[in-house]
Amino acid sequence: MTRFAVTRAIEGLIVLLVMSFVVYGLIGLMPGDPIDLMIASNPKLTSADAQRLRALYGLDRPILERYLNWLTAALQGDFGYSRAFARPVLELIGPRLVNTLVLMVASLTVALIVGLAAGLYAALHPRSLIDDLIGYLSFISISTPTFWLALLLMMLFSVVLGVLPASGMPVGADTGLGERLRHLILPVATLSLASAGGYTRYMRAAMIETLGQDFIRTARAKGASEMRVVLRHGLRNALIPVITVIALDFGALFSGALITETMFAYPGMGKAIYDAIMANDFNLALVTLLFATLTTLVGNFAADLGYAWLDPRISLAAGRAGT
Amino acid sequence: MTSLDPAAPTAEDEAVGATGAGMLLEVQGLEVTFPTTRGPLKAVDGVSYSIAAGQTLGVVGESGCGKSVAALAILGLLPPPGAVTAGQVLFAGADLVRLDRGALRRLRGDRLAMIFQDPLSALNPVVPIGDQVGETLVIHRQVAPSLARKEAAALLRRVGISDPDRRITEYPHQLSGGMRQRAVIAMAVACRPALLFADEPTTALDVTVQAQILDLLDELRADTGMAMQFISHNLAVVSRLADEVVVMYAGRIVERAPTNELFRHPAHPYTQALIDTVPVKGRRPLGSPPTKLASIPGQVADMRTAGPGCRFAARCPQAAYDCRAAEPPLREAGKNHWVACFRAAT
Ligand SMILES: Nc1ncnc2c1ncn2[C@@H]1O[C@H](COP(=O)(O)OP(=O)(O)OP(=O)(O)O)[C@@H](O)[C@H]1O
Ligand code: SF4
Ligand SMILES: [Mg+2]
Repeated sequence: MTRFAVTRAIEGLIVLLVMSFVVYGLIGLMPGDPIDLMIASNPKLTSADAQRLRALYGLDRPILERYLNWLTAALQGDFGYSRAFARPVLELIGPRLVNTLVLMVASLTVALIVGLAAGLYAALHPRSLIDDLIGYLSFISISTPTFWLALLLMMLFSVVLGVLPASGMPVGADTGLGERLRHLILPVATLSLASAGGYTRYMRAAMIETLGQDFIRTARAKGASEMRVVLRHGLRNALIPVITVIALDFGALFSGALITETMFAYPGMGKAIYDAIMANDFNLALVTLLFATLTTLVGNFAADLGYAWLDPRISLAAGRAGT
Repeated sequence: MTSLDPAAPTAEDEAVGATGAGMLLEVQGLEVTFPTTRGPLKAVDGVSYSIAAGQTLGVVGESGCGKSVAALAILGLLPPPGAVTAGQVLFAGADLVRLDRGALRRLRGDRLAMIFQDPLSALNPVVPIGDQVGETLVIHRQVAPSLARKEAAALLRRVGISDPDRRITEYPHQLSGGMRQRAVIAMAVACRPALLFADEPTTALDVTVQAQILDLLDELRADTGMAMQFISHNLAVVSRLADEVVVMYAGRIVERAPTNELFRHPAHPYTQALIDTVPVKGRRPLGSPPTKLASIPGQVADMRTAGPGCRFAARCPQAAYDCRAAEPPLREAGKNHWVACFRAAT
């Protein structure tokens, strides 16, 4: 297990390293470097000044050299300054990261509870009226674009009913918890509703498949109650594929979070990425995009761990079974 | 001694109650129907037999003749939409077909147990062996799970698994095929059932292991005094354990006789064909798949489209005109020997 974790951590670092180079290169390809922006905002700059500034910031060096300079600093914990916010990137990202994590964890929890429960119920009552209803609802959940769902909820709860704020979650630690929670409700509702339909479908399919297995018949032949058959023999087997798919879906949850944050002007990573790219904020964009990569890596890692935890047939040590 | 009530139960029979008192299990006129898009399919069509305590009944017949479905119907384990559409199953004074689900569940795993063909798929891949083997004790005897695990180790030792204390913590994929089937057997006999259904328990195993498993089953039967319904498509395997054999064809019983009698005087052309496929001792190991069974020419008729006559007529070397006119009834062909064929000597 430890060996697995270490191997995966090293693999993850290598992926991050490669991704950092790719993202660095891609951002470098974007039209307009920071000096062009300075020129745009200050027409008095001459091209000689621009040349001098480029040399000063090292922007005239080859991309590989610039990348290595960035990497050296980054490895020492220095991710540079955000030009748009005029603050160190790390200091800027800290509270936003927390906000995004809160949004994602809360939404994931709600979506899991709703999705797994609905999927389980539907699987135990196939072709019933409620199963049909759950089927329609999850179809709607899957096919509704997140931004549209966000708009709908905003219209209903903020505009028509006027009970919840549509935007304006305050940044900083000085806001009260109640106020924060109130601002969290609509974003969490949006993001969890967007994912719950998929989870419901996975769960229903996996449970129906599991209940058709021979060992379920064995459990019934032993005189196990329906409850015991489902919870003791069915659920864990059904969860193996479900947990895997959900963890692999982490990337989708993250991008959903980005859209949701943008819609609700929620001060998280999504907003940060959006602002950074719009403002051509090189350093900020780099770190936020790398963070997106990291989320996906963590999701995959969680998928492997969950898989191994639920299924004794999987040996993470990639060697002898059961060690 | 097992005996047979060949006639489908009449209303009078049912009113009087069980004939042949002292039987552990009495199946009377059992009919199982699967609704299909092309009409109802009677997978089991009016089957009657009985098993006395401590006796072994063998059930043989080609694939698809209804052996498994009959056993599952008795235990209330039919896969939906299959259902018992007629008949009764008397066990310990109660009709299992009409018993409420809770009462039937209390019998299952306790007084009635079943072993399935493929031991790997019959075991839960994510539950330790010990928990699975001891589970019936938890369900029916209210034994604490930790104690049941200890009991499971003793059961595993009993069925010949070495190092049972380690095995109870392992998972099915860590056991060999033979060991898994032993574990499944231990699981089935944990509560000392009065009747064990063994549905092709050796088919998935290689030949040497097959023989060991058969010996184990016979040993356990002798030890515990349980009765057994042993299901196989292999007459040679059945003959090793069974006191009496039922031959099924297309959902019906075509012949029934004590094992020796059946081998000595097979009366039904289908039974005769089956016996021809049994390996002669020494030439092929007992229990190896009968290569000639597949060579009984033709296929089992589709019961939905078959005409009124004998279901075996299309493949029967002795078929004559009258065979296609009416279904031959089960008649006595000797002492405890019954056959459903117009040509059979009686
Ligand atoms: N779930 C089902 N749905 C519809 N028909 C079924 C189902 N299960 C069984 N049957 C029908 O019942 C018949 C008897 O099946 P059964 O499993 O009892 O055969 P068997 O004698 O046990 O054969 P085998 O040696 O292959 O196990 C089959 O021919 C099939 O048509
Ligand atoms: S009744 Fe006729 S067709 Fe049927 S088994 Fe006997 S001889 Fe063959
Ligand atoms: Mg079968």
